[in-house]
Amino acid sequence: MKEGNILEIKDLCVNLMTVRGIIYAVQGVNLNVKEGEIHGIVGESGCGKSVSTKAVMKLHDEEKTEYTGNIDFLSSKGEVDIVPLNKKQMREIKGKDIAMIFQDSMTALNPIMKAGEQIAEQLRAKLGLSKTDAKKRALEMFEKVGILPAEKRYEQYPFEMSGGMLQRVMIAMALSCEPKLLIADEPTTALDVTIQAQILELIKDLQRESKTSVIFITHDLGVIAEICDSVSVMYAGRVIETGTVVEIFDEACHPYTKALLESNPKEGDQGEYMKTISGAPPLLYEKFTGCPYAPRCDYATEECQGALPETVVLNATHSVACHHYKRVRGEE
Amino acid sequence: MKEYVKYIGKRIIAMIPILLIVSFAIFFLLRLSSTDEAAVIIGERQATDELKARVTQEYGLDKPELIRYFDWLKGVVVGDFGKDYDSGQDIGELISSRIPVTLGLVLISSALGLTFAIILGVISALHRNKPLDTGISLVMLFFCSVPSFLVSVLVLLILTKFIPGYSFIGTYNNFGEFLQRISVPAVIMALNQLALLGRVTRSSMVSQLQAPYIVTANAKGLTDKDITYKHAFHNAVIPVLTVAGMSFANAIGGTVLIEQIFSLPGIGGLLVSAVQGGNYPVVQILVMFMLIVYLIMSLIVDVLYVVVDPRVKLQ
Amino acid sequence: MKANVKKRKSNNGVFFTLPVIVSGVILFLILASALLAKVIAPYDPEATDYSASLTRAFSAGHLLGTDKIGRDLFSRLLCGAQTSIFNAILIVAFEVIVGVPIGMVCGYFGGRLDDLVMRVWDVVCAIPSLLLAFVLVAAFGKGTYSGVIALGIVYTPLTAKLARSLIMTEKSAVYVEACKSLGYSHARIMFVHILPNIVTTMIAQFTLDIGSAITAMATLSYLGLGVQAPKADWGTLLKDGMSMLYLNPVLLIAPALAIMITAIAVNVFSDGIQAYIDPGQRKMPTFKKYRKKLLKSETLKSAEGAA
Repeated sequence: MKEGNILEIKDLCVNLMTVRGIIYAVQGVNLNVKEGEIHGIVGESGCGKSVSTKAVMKLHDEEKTEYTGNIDFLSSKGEVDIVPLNKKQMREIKGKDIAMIFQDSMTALNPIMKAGEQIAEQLRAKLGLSKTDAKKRALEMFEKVGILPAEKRYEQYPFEMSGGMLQRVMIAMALSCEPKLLIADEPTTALDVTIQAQILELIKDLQRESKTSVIFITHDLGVIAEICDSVSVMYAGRVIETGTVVEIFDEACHPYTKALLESNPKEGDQGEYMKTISGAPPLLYEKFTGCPYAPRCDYATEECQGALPETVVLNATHSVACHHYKRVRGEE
Repeated sequence: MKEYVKYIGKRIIAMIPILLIVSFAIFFLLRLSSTDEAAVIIGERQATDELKARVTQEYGLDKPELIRYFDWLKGVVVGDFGKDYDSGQDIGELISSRIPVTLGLVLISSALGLTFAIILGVISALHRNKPLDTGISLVMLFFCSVPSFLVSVLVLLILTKFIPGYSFIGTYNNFGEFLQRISVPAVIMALNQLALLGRVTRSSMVSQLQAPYIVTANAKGLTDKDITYKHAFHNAVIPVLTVAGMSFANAIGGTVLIEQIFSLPGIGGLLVSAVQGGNYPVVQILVMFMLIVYLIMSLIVDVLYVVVDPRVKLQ
Repeated sequence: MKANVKKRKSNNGVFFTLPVIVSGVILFLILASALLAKVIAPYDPEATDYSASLTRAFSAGHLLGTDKIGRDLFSRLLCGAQTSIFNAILIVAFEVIVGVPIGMVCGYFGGRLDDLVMRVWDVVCAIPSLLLAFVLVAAFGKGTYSGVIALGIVYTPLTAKLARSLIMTEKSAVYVEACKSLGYSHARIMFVHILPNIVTTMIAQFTLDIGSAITAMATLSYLGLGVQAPKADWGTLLKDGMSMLYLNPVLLIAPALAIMITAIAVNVFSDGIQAYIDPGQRKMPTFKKYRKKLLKSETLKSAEGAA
């Protein structure tokens, strides 16, 4: 692993078994997350962002999932490859070294267990705390994420709390064991805009304080601009472009990234039609032999149909998977 | 604790209107039929006009129905359940000796059925689509679709063929014999309840194991044991309780048949012959008794519900 | 690509799984033999023949033997099937005709009417169903039709509740809002638009109900409260068989098996419908099996191509 990286995903493929057959949900993802950064993953629904990050924690049903490739992770016990780990070894990492925040906190919390207890339970299981210590620590976490009054909230059940509060509980739970990597899977999508801003602020503050690395999944480019250091853009189960926020927003090299940015409404766009990307992302029932974006791409040529574009490294932080990235940049 | 007592008290008070309405409805439903009650009372005796007049007078058959209902109700409240049309015996005495069998059957079979249903349902769900699950599911499908009186008939057939000396039917003289008599029918009734509740447990457990909060629990790095029992199981039990109330009702109805088949001295045989013979006072009292048993059991289920599910409040 | 889509679809909701086919065939055979009972039956089911009383099963002339007064069991079983199934259909028809409209109207309009009906239902449901049936039979007098009506009344509240809860979930669906905004009448929305969406779930329930109606009616007949002699259904046959338990157990076993097989087949069939409606219950293929299947279909295709 490279110095300073906490997570390196190499050629990760995830195949999911469904009633309709195999879905090749992730088809060769390469992704690096540096220590202490917030790394955004952006893409349309069904592009494999959730599936690939869930694979980092191996949260998919083992009987219905196949993994290939490498997920190298710098755990508290040193470097490990997550893909070959068994259930027991995974349990050591889950919750303690890697934690996750889910999109819909209403259903992601056990409906009939007290909110505080759901955190205390994790502290007891992962850090071996006693009942009273676990409760004390859980109350501290509640205060930290702004669930007040903590004592009263500790005793409440999820159905007695609002969506924003529940997301705070999720965050408190995820950070309670001081993980090295936090995966936030669209944590603000289900919330209304004002609460969204509060939660983003909270995640940002806590991240700055604890120096935890964060993978932040979203389909909202505004959120990316606000809190991320670097970004990966995913399309049809692959990362098609990676770079720092500045590189992605100002020097996008992939036609999809460009189209995505253009479809985001900006100030002063009055009186114009919003730009959209025509067509829909492909279904992932088979592996691609050509560029999956080609049918929707303005730059597509015959070459795109025939060969999967290799990832081209442009500089230390920026890379792109497109046959025509030079033309996209306007260099040709 | 205090609020539970208050809740149970409230529920018991709420039973009174139900009992009144149902008793009223039953009383008048039974009087709808064309059965001549005096003839039922006279039975095989010579039906002279004099006897008929005496019977009509003694049982108050000539009074308006509404007055007869209130007379009956008054009697029931003070513990006078009326007289059996067949034997002229006091109904209270008639049924009190028969209650242990019926109550024993219902309680033992419900307790056994619920316990094993939950155990087997969970095992089945955890081995979903594996041979063990298929086996358990098939057995449950069998006992769920085949009514318990049929199973009893076949079991009786087999038992009389292979263990001719074993006395498992008829009356009993002491507690040991009582247990011996009701063991076979209780197990058969339990199997029926087990099948119904076990299927519910399985499907409820399967869907809970796929719920999003299980993914969260998994991401927290909890052990499989904790995920299964602390999280999924607790949630899965709730719908099982709902169906348990229904299953108890089936058991109460089912004991009527089972007692008949195993010739047990319970209230089932009494009820059937009373329905057949137009012996209405007995029908009324027995139905009310079974209704009370059912209402109490469903009250227990509801209290359990509150204990298990924090979203349900006592009200 | 197009061909692929088609293949996936056929792999999706499979209705004709092995259990469904087997139970379907059994049900079809039972139904057909019940319908043609009078044609198939070798004897008049009510004809007595004292010289041939209690003939053993599989003897010449009487496939399943005869009862105490020499009636042919096989013929009686066939005609009993006709009676049993016909009665069960009557019971379910009663619950559908009475229960579904009540439930739909209550669920759709809600309000005070709904409150009132549900209050009444709650009281009715408070009585265990078999007990309620007893009381009703006692009121109507024993016999086939009072048995059918009694059981119909017992089943009605449950059907109404199902229809009500189904319609209540559908009521808030967007297409209903759309219908309302188009100014359609309530009746049209209920019966033309909502009904087709809930009918599959209800059919699964009604199949199940036919099964349980057969056994419930058999129960009443067994207790002497339903079908009366000399007419026979499976319940009365069972009752007659019970008294001959030691002399000729076939008299008991045959109707018992008939009820059992029918009940199981109905349950399996209804399970099949339910699994078809609810994809969550479908069995997932494993990777290995799926690949094998893919490989097979591909070799088939290439073989076709070669030919």
